[in-house]
Amino acid sequence: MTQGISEELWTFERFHAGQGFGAIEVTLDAQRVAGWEAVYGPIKGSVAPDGLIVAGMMEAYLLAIQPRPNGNVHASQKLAFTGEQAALDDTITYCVKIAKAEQKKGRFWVSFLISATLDGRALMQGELVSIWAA
Amino acid sequence: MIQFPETIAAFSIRTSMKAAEGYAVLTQDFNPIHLDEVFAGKTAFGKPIAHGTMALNLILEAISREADGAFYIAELDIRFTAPTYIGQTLTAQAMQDDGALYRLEVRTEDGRLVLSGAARLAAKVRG
Repeated sequence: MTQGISEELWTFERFHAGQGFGAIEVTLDAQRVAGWEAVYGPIKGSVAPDGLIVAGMMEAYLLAIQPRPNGNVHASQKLAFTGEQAALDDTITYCVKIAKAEQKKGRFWVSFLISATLDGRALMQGELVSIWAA
Repeated sequence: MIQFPETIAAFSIRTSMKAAEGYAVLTQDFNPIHLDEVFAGKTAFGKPIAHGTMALNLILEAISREADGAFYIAELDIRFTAPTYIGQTLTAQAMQDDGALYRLEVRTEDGRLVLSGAARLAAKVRG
């Protein structure tokens, strides 16, 4: 269930710290693997590269909060991996929530926390900082 | 106790439109700023730019290839410092600061810094 998907545009004024956007599932399927390999080259073996988990994070972040204004800027990113691995074809569960939303110098800064788990095991936690456009 | 490498081999990719289309499929991010020359031409950038996390994943992949399963990125903190225009070549480098701590950067072929930051590596526990 993705409470972030609505008819109304997600503008900065609708955000608050602690707000959640539900869980998004992303399967590391052949289509996504082909996309990865088109950019970074062949994946050796069946273990998913960490970057594939990050790509899934971006997909979940984009999907969880729709519709969104044009022109948001991905300013910075923190990642913490646990050392747990996922395999190709695994389905990763991402949960997106807001850590902080504040206006500074006329810009809308929003920090999103995004966790990635596989069958309940933590894989990665990300903090994505965005300058929200509206 | 693991000895982390002094240098991580640089890893480069060319951000062609084909690569951008592949990355769009990968992330399901089909924003025309990355894929449509006409659309991008009307923006402040003037031409298509690569997805920001294409550079982030380049540095992850550079470290992963060097690690070959022996270590992983426990923590990473980066900033996107400039856009990458489609067609430019990106090169990721990680330089050891102290022990498991590394400085990270990704530059275009003309030396422009598009990503900078730091990471802490950790030894992989083999089960």
